[in-house]
Amino acid sequence: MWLKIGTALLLATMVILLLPQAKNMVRHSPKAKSGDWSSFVVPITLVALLVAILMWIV
Amino acid sequence: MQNNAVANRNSESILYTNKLIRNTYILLSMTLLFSAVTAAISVVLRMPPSTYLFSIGGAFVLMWFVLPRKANSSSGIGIVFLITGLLGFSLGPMLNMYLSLPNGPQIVATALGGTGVIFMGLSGYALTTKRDFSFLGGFLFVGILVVLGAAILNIFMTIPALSLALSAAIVMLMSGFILFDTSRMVNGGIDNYVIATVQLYLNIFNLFISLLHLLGFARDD
Repeated sequence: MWLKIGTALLLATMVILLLPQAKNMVRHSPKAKSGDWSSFVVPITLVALLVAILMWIV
Repeated sequence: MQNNAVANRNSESILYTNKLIRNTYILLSMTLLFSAVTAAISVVLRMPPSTYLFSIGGAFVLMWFVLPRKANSSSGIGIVFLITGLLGFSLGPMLNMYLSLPNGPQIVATALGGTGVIFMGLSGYALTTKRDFSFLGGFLFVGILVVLGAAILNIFMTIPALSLALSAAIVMLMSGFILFDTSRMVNGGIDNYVIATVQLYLNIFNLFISLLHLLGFARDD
């Protein structure tokens, strides 16, 4: 039980420390230009396919 | 004359970026090897499950409170090895658990290979296309916070489907972070190879663990 509590505390601390950085990123990240999202979605889809194939192989 | 000055500044900038990328990948290779050694030691010593919490906690403290102060000095490299060594050591109990499954070595090897292919593929894509993926910053950080929040809940609720969904989400997010961090090196968002190495290492580390979880589920008879 204490292991679960310790892990939860660690993750909660990560959330607290990452929160300011996340807010900064959301405010100051540049907007995506035309074609930017597709240049992200295509490789990520390929990664998803690879993972599916690996799960099927194992 | 002015054109020459501009050309000189551009070529200096390109040289600096190339040096940053080279130093990052050299340090990343060395830390991955070192991490593999500490993981192997942890496996052989059959460390208890609590090792995971203490090692990750120690690495976390070093990353957040020590590394930012030492990143610009030579001791920063030692801190990076300490962080990656601790993270590698933390994998021992988890690897022992997966290795004890039927076909366990195949699961671990497949996860390792898959992590390598995904990392090299995405890095190669970001480096060769030189696309600016900085627009992903907000999306990825919010995604990580949502995943961490759900993970905290799942520690106590223990829902297998949620655990699986979280692992899948982490694989996607870490893939996004590989693109994001590599693009930051190429396009000037980061200028310290020690910090860049730790960021890429964490992406690979989390990707490997999540892939291991997904493959372990797939193999579960």
